[in-house]
Amino acid sequence: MAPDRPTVDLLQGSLDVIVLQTLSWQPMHGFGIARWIQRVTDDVFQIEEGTLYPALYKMENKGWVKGEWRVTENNRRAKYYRLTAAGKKRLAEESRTWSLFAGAMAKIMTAAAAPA
Amino acid sequence: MTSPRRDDPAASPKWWRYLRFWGTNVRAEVDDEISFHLEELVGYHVARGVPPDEARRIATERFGDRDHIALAMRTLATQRETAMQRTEWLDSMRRDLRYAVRQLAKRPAFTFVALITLALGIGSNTAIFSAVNAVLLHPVATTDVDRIMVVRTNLPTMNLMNEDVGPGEALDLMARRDLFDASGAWAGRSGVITEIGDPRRVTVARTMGQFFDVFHVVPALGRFYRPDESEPGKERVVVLSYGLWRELGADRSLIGKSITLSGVRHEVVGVAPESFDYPRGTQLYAPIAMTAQYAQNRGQLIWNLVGRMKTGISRRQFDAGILSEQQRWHRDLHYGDKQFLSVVPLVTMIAGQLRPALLVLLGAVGVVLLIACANIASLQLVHGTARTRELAVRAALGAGRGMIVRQLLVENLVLSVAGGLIGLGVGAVILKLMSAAGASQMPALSDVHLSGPALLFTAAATLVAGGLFGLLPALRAGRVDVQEALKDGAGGASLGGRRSRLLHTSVVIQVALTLVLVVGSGLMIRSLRALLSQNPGFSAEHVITMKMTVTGPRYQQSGSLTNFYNQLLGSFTGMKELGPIGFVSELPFSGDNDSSPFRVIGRATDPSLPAMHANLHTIGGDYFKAMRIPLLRGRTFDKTDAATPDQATWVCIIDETLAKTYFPNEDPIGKRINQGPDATIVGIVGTVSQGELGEPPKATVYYPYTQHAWYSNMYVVTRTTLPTATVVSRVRGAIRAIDPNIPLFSTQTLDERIAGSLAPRRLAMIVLTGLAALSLGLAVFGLYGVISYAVSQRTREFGIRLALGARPTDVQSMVLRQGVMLALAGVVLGLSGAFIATRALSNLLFGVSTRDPFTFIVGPVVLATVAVAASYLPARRATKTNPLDALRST
Repeated sequence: MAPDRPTVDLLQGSLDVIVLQTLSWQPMHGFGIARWIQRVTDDVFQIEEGTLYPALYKMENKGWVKGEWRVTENNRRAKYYRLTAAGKKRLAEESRTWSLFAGAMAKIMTAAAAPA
Repeated sequence: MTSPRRDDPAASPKWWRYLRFWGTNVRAEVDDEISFHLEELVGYHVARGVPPDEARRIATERFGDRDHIALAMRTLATQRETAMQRTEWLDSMRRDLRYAVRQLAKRPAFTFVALITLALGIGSNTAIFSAVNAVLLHPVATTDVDRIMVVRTNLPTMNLMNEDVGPGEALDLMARRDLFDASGAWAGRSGVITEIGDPRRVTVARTMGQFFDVFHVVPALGRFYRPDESEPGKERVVVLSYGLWRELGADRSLIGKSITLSGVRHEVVGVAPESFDYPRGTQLYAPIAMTAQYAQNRGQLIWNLVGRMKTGISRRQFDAGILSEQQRWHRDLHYGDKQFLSVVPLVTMIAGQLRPALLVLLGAVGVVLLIACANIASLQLVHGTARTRELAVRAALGAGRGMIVRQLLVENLVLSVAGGLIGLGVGAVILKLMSAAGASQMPALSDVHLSGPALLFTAAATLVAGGLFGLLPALRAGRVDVQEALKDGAGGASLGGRRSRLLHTSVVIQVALTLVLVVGSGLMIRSLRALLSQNPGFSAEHVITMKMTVTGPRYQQSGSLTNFYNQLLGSFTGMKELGPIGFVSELPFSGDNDSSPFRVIGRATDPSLPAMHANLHTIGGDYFKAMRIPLLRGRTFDKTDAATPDQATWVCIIDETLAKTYFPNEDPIGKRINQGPDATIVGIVGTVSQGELGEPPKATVYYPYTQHAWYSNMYVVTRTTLPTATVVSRVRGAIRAIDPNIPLFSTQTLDERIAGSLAPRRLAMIVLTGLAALSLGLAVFGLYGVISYAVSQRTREFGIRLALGARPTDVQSMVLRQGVMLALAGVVLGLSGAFIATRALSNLLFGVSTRDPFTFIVGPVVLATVAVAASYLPARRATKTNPLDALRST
């Protein structure tokens, strides 16, 4: 399905964390997830639907999120996704990895001198 | 997907989502989710002042390839659905299984009897089916084994039936290329291999013709020898069996080397494949040296002619061809009867006496399976009825008919599979017993294992049994009238008239089938007793027998064998503690036999009559004394019967049968016969059974080893009370002292040899008796169950009767009468069944008629007694009924 580029894999991995983190506040439908990310990152991250929905379905198959049909405030039927216990565990693991990665990156980018 | 929907997401038809009622509709859900997203996106842009048409265009463009995304989503969702369904199915299966096991555990008596019944029926069937498959259907590793025929000699006037054929006949028949694709013949020998390790005795098959081609076998190593290697001078080649090749070190370089077989050097040209074991136990194959004179020999019946019928010809055409050859001999050569050969399929030939025994057992296990099914059916009827209330409650609580049927089926499946598994164990035990009972005489049985097809057979039998007895009560249970069942108080629902008739029928059938087995096994027991009481013509008690093979280069010269035997007898005279001791070339009950034609010198022979045949035995020492074969007239051999080239002084002793058959009105002493060399009759001894107790006696001629000096295989026979091991070591010591290369083997008491010859009958008897006993047990369970049930159903009636003044004995006899009536009906049916079924036993019976009155009286009496015993306990219980309790209980 997805074109075979290494960046896609990377994106895919980070998309999972982003979505899990988003859902950690409250259950949301796909459109809501996309809007929320856009808003929080000040439109830096533009989530593509072409990757968002398959990613949600994959996470549902893995048991990290669970989809349920509910009615929105505007009285429309929408599929809401909520984080499962397995999903919370996964998110905790992923965010640890991310902090490590981000911290290491920050040290590299702010290093004062060239190595001896 | 069509393009209009792509432009207008809301266009997906509304009815589509109603498909969800039949489970999750993946396509509709994915579509709904995408449509919702697009609508929200349009709304988002419209809210920011974009015109609706423009907003819709932006949204569609931004969303991307809808079909592609939807496909990806559908694929993922379908995966999840399938996984969920599987989990659900497994969960419900596990629930059903757990429930079934709990239900079965709640009724231990029922479960126990049902399991035993199933295990027995399935186990005995698997075992016998495996044995039949291995022994009767696939005895030789070859293709189209049914096309391989064996040609046998029958001379009924001489009691020679199913004998081998002579070399002349074999060669003439093998030349008939219009009858055979390939044909060959073999004669069993034994030989000794020397110069590779210790001297080793081997079983040799001397062959002629295209022996190996008959079986479509390919050598594991090297090549097979060719038919032309039977020509004198070329015949010194051998093919090793795979087993012998391994024993000799599994050395590939053995091919092309030479080995010494019985003192003669032979080149090893090949190794037979591991799967090829025909004739059974053969270790070495070698061509026969065929001289022109030997090729003319007719009547030395030692050749087993085997051939693969020509492709395209029928068995009838084949038989006609064999007959035409005999007619040609009769017409042109004035030889033989017009028809004295018969054609037997190889599979029948190999199975021999095992065939009727196994076929009888096959029938018997079929009967056992029927009994088992009847037993299970009646168990189910009784218990199914008792469970009607439980099922009614479940139905009232909302369990659908399908659910109840499924649960009952699962219960029965659990029962069947468990019964089948135990049955496999039972089958293995039966096979072990069978091979233990028959191993000595029937090596074919010793390597029968529960086979793959038999396993499949078991599995099928298990499932069919489960289906059969599970379906009926399950369907009935599904039809239960909930209200009726619940209304009917503590007693539960009772069997209707039709159902109790079904129950009674099943008991009657069980009793009848059991009687058939009991009568059959009774006949076998009586027959074996009759056989064992037959006088074999000698006394087998305390007789120990051993075989020796005297071969080697030093026995090539004439007189050397006689020297060896002389020396051996000389050392025996110094061992008085051994008792009378002697030797013989063909020992009774050893499976060896040499039937040769003879004529009386001075008596004209009628060529249109078959030649007279007699067993030819060469003896030495005190053979007659050791065997206690009585001398009736004349004398036994003594020192005067020495080796001399002058055949005028050669002598022989005949047995009573030969004397009576061929010298009915004259004194045979002093007459001369020719069975090879000429010999003068000097004595008459009693007749002995040669191969089987109770067989019609065959004429026999005995020759002294001094004059018939070419026999290298001899059985040493001694009558002694010493332990076998002591005797063997003494005899072995005596032989070693003369020639350390001579092996002594095949030690058995004569009693063991006789018992071995009865092995197929004994086997049939043991297994049949075991099956009859087990069936009897099952029938008792069945009868007991049905009567108990009937008593429990009539508790109220008995209470009223007792309250109205009936004596307990009246009630007891009422119940007993019901049991006895059922048993009697079964006995009557069973007797007629037994009359028909025992006919199949006629091949295995001896001295007992298939309608033996004793057996036909004792069998029914046993069954009737057992039936009364089975009814007695429930009858006692009926008399203990407390009238008040019985009346109150409603």
